[in-house]
Amino acid sequence: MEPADDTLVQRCLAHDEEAWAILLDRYAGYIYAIATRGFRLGPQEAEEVLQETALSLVQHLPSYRGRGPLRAWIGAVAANAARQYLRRRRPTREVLTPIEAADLPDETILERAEEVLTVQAALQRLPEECRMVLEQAFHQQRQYAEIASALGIPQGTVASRIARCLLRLRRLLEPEEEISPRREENRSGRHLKE
Amino acid sequence: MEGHVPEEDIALAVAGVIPPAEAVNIEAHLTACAQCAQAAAFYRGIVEVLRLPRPVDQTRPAIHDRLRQGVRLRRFLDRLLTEPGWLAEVRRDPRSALERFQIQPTPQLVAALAEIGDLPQEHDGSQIDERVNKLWLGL
Repeated sequence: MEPADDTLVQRCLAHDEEAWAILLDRYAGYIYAIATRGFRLGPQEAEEVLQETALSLVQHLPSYRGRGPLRAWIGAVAANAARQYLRRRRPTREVLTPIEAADLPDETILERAEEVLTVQAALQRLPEECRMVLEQAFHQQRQYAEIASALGIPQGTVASRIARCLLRLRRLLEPEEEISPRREENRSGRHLKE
Repeated sequence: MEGHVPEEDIALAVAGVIPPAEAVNIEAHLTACAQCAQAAAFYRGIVEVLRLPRPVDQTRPAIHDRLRQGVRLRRFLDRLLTEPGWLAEVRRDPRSALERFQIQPTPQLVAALAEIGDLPQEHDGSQIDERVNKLWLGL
């Protein structure tokens, strides 16, 4: 059984390397999401922010007094690491968007990261056929022909499967009562062309 | 224009997988229909997240290696700041001192350590802090 955060913190403060590895693995996705969605950084940049956040956590953990959730503290450290990373980078046209993101308050940045984890968790609850088609269409950005070939389905059904799976994902993410009226309407929904 | 766009079509429009003419119609509808616009906004958020890069497993060992170095440096520093005898030993041979803690003695780290060694006996805390921060950058 994985240790609770407070136990882990005590072990980390005692310089337990295994505890640090568990802590990093537990929060790597969150830190990465802060970098990619909160600050709109690319994969390589996000890896660097993850690495710098890890070191920053080791450096500053003694100042964490357990007054709030560890997750929030780690989020703040990661956001700070991302901002420092952006400041160090030479400004170019490509980095305008991340720099703008760096001006957002921590609360917004962390909310965006939480959304990523929520969607990813919901994705894991979908049937494999849905996970695979969404993964290939969006994360891997593969062409429909490639997806069809990889999944062994006709190319013409890729789009409809994507749509169906996106709908299932929404059902998992939004409470039923919030979208049910719309679902009823959609059953008789008309195309605009009509 | 009456009614709503079927939700599947909204999802496909957001995903960019419907014919352009139909997409234009749907976009026009979204400007006038709050309910469909809300669904579209939701799908945009989902699709944005699904397109995000994810942590790469292959780079994780490198991050863990650096993390271990950090943990060892933390242990090293704790001893350095609390045991005068250890400080003297580090001043005498910083490279060996680092190696005893299984810390890779990078040139930056050894140089930063030398600065700590050069501190006058009557230094204040801020000087130490400044030099300790340099040590972290040397990892």
